[in-house]
Amino acid sequence: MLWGNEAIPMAKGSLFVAFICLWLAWIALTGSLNPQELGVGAIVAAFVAVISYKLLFHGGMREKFEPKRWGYALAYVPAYIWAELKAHASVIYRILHPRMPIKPGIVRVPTKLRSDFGITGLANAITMTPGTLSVEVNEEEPSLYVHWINVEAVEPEQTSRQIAWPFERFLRRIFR
Amino acid sequence: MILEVLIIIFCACLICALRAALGPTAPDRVVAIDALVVLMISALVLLGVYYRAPIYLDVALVYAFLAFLGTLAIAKYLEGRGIET
Amino acid sequence: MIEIIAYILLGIGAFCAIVGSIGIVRFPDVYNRIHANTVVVVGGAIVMLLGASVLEGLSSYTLKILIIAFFIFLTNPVSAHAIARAAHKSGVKLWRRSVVDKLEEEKP
Repeated sequence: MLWGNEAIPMAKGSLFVAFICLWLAWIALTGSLNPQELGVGAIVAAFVAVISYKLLFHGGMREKFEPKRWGYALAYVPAYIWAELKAHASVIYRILHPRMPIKPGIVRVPTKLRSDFGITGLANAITMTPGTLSVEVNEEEPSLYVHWINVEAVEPEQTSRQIAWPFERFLRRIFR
Repeated sequence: MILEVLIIIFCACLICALRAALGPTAPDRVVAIDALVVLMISALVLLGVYYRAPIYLDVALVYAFLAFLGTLAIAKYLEGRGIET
Repeated sequence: MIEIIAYILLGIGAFCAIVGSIGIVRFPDVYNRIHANTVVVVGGAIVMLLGASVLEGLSSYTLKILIIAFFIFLTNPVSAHAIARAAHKSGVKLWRRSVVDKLEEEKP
């Protein structure tokens, strides 16, 4: 097979992590610590983990637990909540204003992220903040087409700085 | 307090249903029904907290899964079909 | 004290829910309505679910409510993106007073 000598413990590690995650999900959903429930949950979680651990995790396990990335992920949470609050205030103002001061349009937002997880995270963060909505992804030159409720700039540098930079600042260090 | 919040949620559901009935194109209706489903999920969770009955939470979880799958299926269908009302 | 925090969260959620659904009725085209839909989902439903879990205290209900909130948080951007993409592909026009449509200009 293609697996070298060093790849086998890595596969074991991701199998183990997948098993633990699935078992924790089972315990949280049943909500009881009865040993019978725990035993059935362990059997089912082991079965599902053997089938699907290659889909859930790929790559090495060591770089996933690098503390610097988790530090940036923790710092991402308050920045994200602050961006959400600002966006909600602006959209609620536009809804309740009698003359509805909106100026919608679709602009292109280039991004420097390259990994799949990074681009997915950026697109999800842009969609989750009201006021910006990612409509289409261009994969050749990585960029997003974003529907913006109040277009302030059309040039790619300006849009990238105003829409994507608050999230991209953290995401480029979390998902390299 | 929970009952007042539930009444407000049902008013919001009625307003969303107005858009789902009016909506000129199919994606309008899908968006309005998506918002309505999410509001109904939070209403189910609040009812579960109010009556202390955990079965409401299971219903809410399954409803969230099915609404997500339904929205994706309708979006896939609309992509191939083109615009009609 | 805990109850006051929970009631504040529930109140914010109810306000966002009703304002967002007014926005769904008022806004002129699909893409703007999806912004109002996001207000309903994030500001309304997720904040209300957090308020319900705070009100519930520490029990097995709380974990399940947080799982529901996390699931909605993960799936809502996916479905919003799918609907917007389907609407643009199936030819729903932007509002007539929209400023720019780069996707129409640059994509074949």
